[in-house]
Amino acid sequence: MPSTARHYRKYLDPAVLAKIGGLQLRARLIVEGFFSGMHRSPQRGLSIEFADHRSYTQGDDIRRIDWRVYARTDKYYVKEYEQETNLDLMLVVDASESMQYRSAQAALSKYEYATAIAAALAYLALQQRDSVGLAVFAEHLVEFVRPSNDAAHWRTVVDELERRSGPAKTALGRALGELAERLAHRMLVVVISDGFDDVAGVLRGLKLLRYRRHDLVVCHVLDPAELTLPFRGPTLFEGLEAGGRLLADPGALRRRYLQEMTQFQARLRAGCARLRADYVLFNTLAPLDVALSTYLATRSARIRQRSSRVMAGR
Amino acid sequence: MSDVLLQSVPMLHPALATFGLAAAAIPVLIHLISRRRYRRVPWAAMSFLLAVHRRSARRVFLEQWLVLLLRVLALALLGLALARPYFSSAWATALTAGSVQRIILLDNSGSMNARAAGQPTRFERAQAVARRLVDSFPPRDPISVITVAAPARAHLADPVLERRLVRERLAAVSPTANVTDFVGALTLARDLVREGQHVRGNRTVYVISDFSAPYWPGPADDAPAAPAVLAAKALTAEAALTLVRVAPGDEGNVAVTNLAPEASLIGLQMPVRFTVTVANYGDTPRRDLAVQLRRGEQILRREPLPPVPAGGQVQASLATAFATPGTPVLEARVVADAADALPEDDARYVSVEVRSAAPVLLVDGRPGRTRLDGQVGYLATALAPRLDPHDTTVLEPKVVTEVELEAEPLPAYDVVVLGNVERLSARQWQYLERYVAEGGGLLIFAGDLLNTEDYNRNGHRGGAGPLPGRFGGPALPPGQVEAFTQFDVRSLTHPGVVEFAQVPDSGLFLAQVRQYLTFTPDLPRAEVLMRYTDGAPALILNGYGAGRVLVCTTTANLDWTNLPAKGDFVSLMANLVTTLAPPRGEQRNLLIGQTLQAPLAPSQTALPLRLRLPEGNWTEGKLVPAGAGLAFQYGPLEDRGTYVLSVGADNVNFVANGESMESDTRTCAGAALRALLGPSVPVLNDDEAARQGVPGGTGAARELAVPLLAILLLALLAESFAAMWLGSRREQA
Repeated sequence: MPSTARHYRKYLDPAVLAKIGGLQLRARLIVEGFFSGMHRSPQRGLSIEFADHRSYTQGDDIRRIDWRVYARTDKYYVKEYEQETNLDLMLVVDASESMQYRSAQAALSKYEYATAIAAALAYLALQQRDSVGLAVFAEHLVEFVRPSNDAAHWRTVVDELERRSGPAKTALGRALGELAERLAHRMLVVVISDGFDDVAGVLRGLKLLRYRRHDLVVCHVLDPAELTLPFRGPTLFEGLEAGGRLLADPGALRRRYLQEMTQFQARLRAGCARLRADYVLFNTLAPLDVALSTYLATRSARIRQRSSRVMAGR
Repeated sequence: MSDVLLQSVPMLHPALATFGLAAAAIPVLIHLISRRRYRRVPWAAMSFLLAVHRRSARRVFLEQWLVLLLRVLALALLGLALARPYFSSAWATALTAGSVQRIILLDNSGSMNARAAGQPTRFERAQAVARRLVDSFPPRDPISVITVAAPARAHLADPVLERRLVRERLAAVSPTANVTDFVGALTLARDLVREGQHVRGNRTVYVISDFSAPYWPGPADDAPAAPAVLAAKALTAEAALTLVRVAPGDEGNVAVTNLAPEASLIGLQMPVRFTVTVANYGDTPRRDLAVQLRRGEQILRREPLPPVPAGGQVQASLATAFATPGTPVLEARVVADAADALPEDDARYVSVEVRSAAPVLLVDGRPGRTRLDGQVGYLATALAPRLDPHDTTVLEPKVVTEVELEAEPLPAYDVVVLGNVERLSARQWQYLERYVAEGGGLLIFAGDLLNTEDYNRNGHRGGAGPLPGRFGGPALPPGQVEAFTQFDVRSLTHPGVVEFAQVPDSGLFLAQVRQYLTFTPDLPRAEVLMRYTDGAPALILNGYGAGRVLVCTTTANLDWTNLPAKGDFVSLMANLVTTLAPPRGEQRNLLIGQTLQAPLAPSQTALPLRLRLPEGNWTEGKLVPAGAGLAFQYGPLEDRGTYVLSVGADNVNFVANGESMESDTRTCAGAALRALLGPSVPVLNDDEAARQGVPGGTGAARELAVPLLAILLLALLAESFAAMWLGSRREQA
């Protein structure tokens, strides 16, 4: 088993993943790799949440007896579980031209990395019987797939993600506003983008979603070259999204560029914190499991929140 | 390198500055090329990059150009420093006057002895100018002194600061009768400034001279090509040149510029004419001149001279005879009523060789019963007529047969004559060949016996032998008694025969030649002295080694021509034999500056040797190897006059005369000198030089190489620091 675990974990590495064609397979392998590294939970099914205790009756599985309660009360109680089924996950993926960028260091372009995250999350969510929706945007919303928990829905999501978009600018703030209009009930909205837009606009869009009480996770995907500006010697930078051209010595600009990039991340991160949205930075060189564990952590936090509300209501 | 730059910042090696400036372009080129060689990168985060670039473009631009500027500066400075520039200006003088290398060229040649009546000589004035210059130089300036009279000599080759030493050396320089060696002196000065440590602006060469006309011709002549002018111009590239003229004003000079006997063989009691040339170097014609022919204090002849035009010359011919053999010295002296600027050249000397006899060996190819029946009988008679007790001849013929030839000591004879000699052995040819090569004369007459094949093979040897060409066969068909040719009067040009051309109806041209041998001369080595009327060569002369060979293609007796029966035969033969006789006395008639050298016979080397100088003192020369033996040597000669070499009881006279160029006391005008050398060379008269203080370099020129190198070092440090600083800022990033 450990060897199989290691075998699957390698699929979390973007360099290995890049060699695998087809988003479906990639996503499955990511999820397999993710789980093969976790300790096996004593509970069956991760979507099973503890709800209440009841007295042991004949025929109950003795493994479900809560021995701690027995120790305190000298009576047999078994745990009662309730299944959370109404978590809706909305994957919002940036398909603008800037997401197509891939430096020589990286194995995957930012868009490929984003779709791998999205597809893996969708797969994982559907396995949990959560419903999954998809919004793909560039300057506007390009595609919108309504949430569904049908197992076959995953294929639809993956097909949409695999559809390449044309050259278009990022307008993340506006797209989020458009999305907020469309989402009827509370959802976990996972935004996967490089965020190359006006930071204030992006935060405005997130704020609109937040006002509608959606939970937000911002997956900020950046290429390692964008994080380090590793070039040497005279370089002609040809901007994507009609960003113009610049002939410069990167060595002379690096220090200030990195300051600028750090400030950009910091502003985005601070804005997310104010909106109580989770901000996760992804270097496209990094393994992909971070995305999945973030999702699961957020999900369980939300379920706990909901459970506490239920308990309070009783 | 533009001339403007060169003039404002003079340099020692301008080419290196050009190289440095060219090299300074290299960093700019590298920068431009590297800007053209960039890589393209697609880029998503363009807005950040553009924002950063907008803010820091100016700073980056400045940084890059700062480093580039420092690199360019470093290379340009390196080039400039290697070019060793210096600056020179008046304010710099006041601030920091450096030392100036000063070289004085003092003319002490023959013409510098000229003087106006009651005035010091040109040389004395030049010496005074030199002293004043030395006194006016700042104490830090090193001084050298070079004398210009040949051979030019550096008296203070290592520049000295000690003024007392310089004054002593200047006082020790004495005037000579030598020619001027401006080229040598200017070359010495150039070598001195090159060896010195001073930059060009701080080197000054002063030429103090009369700038006499033969060396410094006026601008109308081919002056720019004169060697002295060229050498002076070449020196101006390395040092500042200042000319100080002494002897302004015309002093006038007449001189005896030539004295020579008209005969090359002088016998006892034989009247000999001497040609005297007198030149007038003044600006006015001279009518007051007479010439004396003197022997010691005794005046042999005195003749008034015709008027001598200004700048012109006249010749006089004065005859005398000698009673005893030896090497008497004759003196020609011009006497005038007016004073003369240069009295030393009013006399000229010649040492002649008076001989009691000049032996001539005649080899008879077919002796007859009587003297005149032989092949050379007429010739022997013609050379020593002795018909009249007053006839004087120096030639002393001796007739031998070809068998006896080998026994004769040929060097004892001035000339050897072969008269219709059939053939000679190879040894005899070798013997004759060596004799001619060492200076002897050989005269060959043709005839019916002469074996042309033997002569061509052994005597001509394909041009390597002494014969002036190849003999052919007889020219005229035998048996035709009436056929004859004659000598062509128009063909005479050689000095030995040219006097006959003035008398075209003389016996020489009436003589009939019934036969002769054809002859192909080796032109241009050989010279045809006389031809027959049909154009064929009759007399052919050829120099061979130190001697001469003459071929006559007809006979010396009546066999083929009736010339020996004509009266002209006597003088023609005397002329020809005299022409062939080796010149004697060239080594005894010398010019000042030359070395006296007298070859000694082995028996003479053991005898006491002494030389009496013109002023009367005796001196001992030295013995040097000369050829196979030894020679007496003394010199170079410094004084005009008679030098008597006493070898045991015998005396040999030598004379030394001045070069006639030095008698030319005319000088090149200051304006003409300025025109020759350009405005950058100051030309002063000696009185002006005294008034104007120190002409020439002021010591203001300062070399910039050291400060430039210091700035270069700073530029390199700054460049390294800037590059390191920028690099570290990038690395931190």
